[in-house]
Amino acid sequence: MNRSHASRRWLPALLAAGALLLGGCGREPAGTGGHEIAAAKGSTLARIRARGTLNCAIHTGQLGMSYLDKRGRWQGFFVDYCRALAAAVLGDARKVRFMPVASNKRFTIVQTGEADVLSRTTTWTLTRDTDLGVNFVGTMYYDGQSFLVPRRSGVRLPTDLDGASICITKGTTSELNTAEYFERKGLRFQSVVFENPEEAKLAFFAGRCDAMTTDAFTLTVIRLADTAHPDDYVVLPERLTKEPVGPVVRSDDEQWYEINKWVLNALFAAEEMGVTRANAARMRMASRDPEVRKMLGGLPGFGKSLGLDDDWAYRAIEATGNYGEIFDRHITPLGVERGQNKLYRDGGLIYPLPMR
Amino acid sequence: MTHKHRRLAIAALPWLLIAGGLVVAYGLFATLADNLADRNIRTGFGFLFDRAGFAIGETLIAYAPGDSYAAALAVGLLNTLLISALGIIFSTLLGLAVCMARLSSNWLLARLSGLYIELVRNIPLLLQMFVWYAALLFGLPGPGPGAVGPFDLDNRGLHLPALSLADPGRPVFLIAIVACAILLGAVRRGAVRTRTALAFAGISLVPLLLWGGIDLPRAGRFGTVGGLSLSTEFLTLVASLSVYASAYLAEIFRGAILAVPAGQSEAAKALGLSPAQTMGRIVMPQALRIAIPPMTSWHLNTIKNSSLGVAIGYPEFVSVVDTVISQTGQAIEGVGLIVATFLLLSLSLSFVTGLYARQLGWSVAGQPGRSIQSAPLEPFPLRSATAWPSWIRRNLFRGGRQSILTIAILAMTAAFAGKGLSWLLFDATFAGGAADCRLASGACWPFLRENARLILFGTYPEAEQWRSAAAAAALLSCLAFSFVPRFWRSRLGLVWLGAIAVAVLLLRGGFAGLSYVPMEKWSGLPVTLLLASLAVVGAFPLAILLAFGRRSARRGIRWPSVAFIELVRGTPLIGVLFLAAVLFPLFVPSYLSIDSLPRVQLALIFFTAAYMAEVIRGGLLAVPVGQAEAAHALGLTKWQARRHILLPQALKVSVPGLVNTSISEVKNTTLVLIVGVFDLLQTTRLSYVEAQWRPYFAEAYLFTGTIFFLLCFSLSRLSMKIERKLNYAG
Repeated sequence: MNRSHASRRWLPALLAAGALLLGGCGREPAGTGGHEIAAAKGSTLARIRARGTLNCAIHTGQLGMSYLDKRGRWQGFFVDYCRALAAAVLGDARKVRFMPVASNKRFTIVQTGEADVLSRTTTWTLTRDTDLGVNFVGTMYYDGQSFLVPRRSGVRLPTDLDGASICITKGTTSELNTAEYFERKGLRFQSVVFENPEEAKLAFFAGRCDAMTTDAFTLTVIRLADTAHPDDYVVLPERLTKEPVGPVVRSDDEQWYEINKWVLNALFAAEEMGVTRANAARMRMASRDPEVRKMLGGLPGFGKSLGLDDDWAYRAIEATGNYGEIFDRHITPLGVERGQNKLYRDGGLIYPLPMR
Repeated sequence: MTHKHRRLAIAALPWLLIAGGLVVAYGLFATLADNLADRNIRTGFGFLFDRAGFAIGETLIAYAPGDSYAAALAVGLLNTLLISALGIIFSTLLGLAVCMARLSSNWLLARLSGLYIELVRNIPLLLQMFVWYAALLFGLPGPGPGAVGPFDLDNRGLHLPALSLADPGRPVFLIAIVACAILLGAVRRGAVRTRTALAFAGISLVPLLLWGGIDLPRAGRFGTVGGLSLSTEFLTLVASLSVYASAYLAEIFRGAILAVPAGQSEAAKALGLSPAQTMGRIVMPQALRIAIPPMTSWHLNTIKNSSLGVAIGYPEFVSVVDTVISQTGQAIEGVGLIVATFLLLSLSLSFVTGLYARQLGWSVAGQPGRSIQSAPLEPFPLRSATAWPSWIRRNLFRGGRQSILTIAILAMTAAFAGKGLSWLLFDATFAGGAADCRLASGACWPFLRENARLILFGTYPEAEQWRSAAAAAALLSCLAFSFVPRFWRSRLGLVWLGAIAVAVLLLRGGFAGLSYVPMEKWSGLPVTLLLASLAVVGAFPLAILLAFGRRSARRGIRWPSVAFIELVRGTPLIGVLFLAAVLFPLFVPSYLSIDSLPRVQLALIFFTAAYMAEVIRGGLLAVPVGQAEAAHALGLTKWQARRHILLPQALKVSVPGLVNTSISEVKNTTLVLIVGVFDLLQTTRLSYVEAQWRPYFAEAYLFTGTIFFLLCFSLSRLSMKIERKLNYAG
């Protein structure tokens, strides 16, 4: 009796309280959430500084580009980009947390802000740039899609692959390009799709497919590293596509985007200006070219406009060396030519923007 | 006064919970909207009509990359339906066969089929799938040059002769088939005579004669072309789903057959029916109606398990959705489609089975869980050697047919064991490296010596791997403790929690001189053990709440509980994992981001809780109503009665069921590899990626399979032990 009385009397009051609670709190978390995000918008840099580490999403394992060395440290072309970035932003190339991520989950990890930058072979395309809420920092490596085939198959051109089965990694541009290419040529193929490149490779070598397709760089590495007799396999010389690959950041932070863009450019420019890891300290003070001294912070430079100090580029170059040095350290030993990735003055496509 | 306040608080609690839930939900969705807008991600299902752009390897309907995403999804859905249908048919047939063997009076056959059931049930489906796949891929030859027979099996798939119909034939034949189906219905209603129907069926074959032809497989430039090709991935999926489900179905059928009163078969015998007739005409029809509800629920599992095709690249529905998500970025819509589709499939299967059963006048109400009586096999008289000959005569060589069977099985077992032993021991390589292995035909044990650490501890820093080992040891010793009846107290849960905390601290480090190891490096055995034990321990309190919630008289509590339980149980685990891996970050503000391991762990906890809640609810239903009434009469409050009277009794009954859920959880942890967590199975796969070790996948899976088998098998023994103890106690 007592209980029912109590509940009858209190029910409206409770309901009212509940409604108040709903109204009040309901707005609050959204408000704070919105506020936090607004604060986060302009301040990837501030968050990195507060955290003390750069969160860098990388490939789960790709020789030359990002791989674990014998001591369990991440190494590679795209890994070094993050080291240079950390040196520029935090003053220490070691303050990077590397987050290996699969192809098909890579954009999510940047979109959600878990990673500050995605530094792995990611092709710059219109839809990715516009639909996914990300920005491409620049082209760090010019590649193109090709096919790896057994030499005895006698395949010389992609069009020879009419009716073949092809091993592909899921969620990549190669998956789309292959379909489009064969459709355009009016040819047929059977796609055998794998969750990650390791499995695609394993299946290809087991003879599940007649060809394997991805960027020519990756295929060259696979041919060298994963076969007992590389000469039994051929990477077809024709390129299906243009694959400009480079780092990616979230699109809602202009400052962070610019920092990335200019760190990458500083690596290009350093090669053009002849600044290396070894001579950076000397050049910074003693170079006769004021543009070099300005870039390295020997003269008052551009740090302020980026929200950094003037030594940012110097630290980046000191940490990893210039673009050419990074390339020679990781890519050249694999027997891959620089080709299109030479500086423009040597006949390549790497064109540093003016640092002034 | 205080008493009154307490009552008030209790009365208000549900409302507060609901209010809190709504607040949280509102916050989540507000954040989601913000996050989506910020990241410029499109929303809505408009993308379904965009050009898909990717190719799909196997399609039942015409599909080209130029078609829409909707078309691609339809292709995936049809593939899921095909795989599920074949899996259901083959597993039922295989299950029946195994069940018959299990019930055989031939001791050897019964034991062998028992071994089959235990092996299949205690090894994760995903591991079995990888073994099938690796065996087909590496074990079969590639498409060789030269002639191709009408039935050709290579590592690209099975190539069969196909019926081909020239152009006008196809629609005509289709119409004829539909007409036949309608006619068949008419025959059953008695509207048409059977002879008429047969005549028409004969006529409908005419288009086949006129336009039909046989399309034989033949050698093309790239492998075999023509005929009907079933890909390696397709074969792997059908085979592994059928075998896995058959072990469970065999036990369901056995339970059902044993539940048919013995008088029935005795009466049949007395009427002079043969054993086969007795089985087919008398026992089976009765057993089937008992078996229908559990069998249907297993078939639902097969449908959900077909989503594992994503792991081997078979383009079923989840795999296609995965591709769509990565091309469009629209993860919410994608995961929503997975959940909705599987719910719809589950509901329609239940509906169809229900309809069929009702048509036959059967009730499909769930049976209360009961343990299956073990088959009446005469135990082998190990102690007295004098009794051996007579036992052998009775159990192996009774009658001519029995003797032939025994000899055939013995011969086969001997041949098999001989092969196995020479692979394991006589032809195996024990010392040296990969080069030595290549010279021998047997197993390559140096592979395990070189890679055991990689399999067990994966990418954990090598110098610190003793911590991984210690963490695994802490959890395993806890498991060992759980076998001692003296420790069967509620405090055992606390011990588990303690062991989990110790394991996490050891793995993480960052104190007392232990270096900090970030979560993305944790891998192998400790991750599998941690995921499984925390899933079970964490789900337990949630499951109790859900079980009570589902029985609550208040709609505001009952409906959310029912919705949660049924939504989760209707979705394949991989859908829930996608939700955690892809969607979770979108629902929380970016400053709250957490690693993928705890995310996946959370998903496993929720998933387990839904299944456990049903087990506990079963326990609650088993508590006599009088207990609650007596508690009320004694003046206990509702919560006191629940806490001290209902729950202890319900839990006691549901312990075996809870342990069985734990076994599924140990096996389920393997699925986390699909969302990129390095569990024991993933590290196993990594171990044979290197060129020199590639041929030795069998050794790798044997190693990991043994670990999983020991874990699951010991848990199943634990479940039986507890059940026996409970039966004795009361």
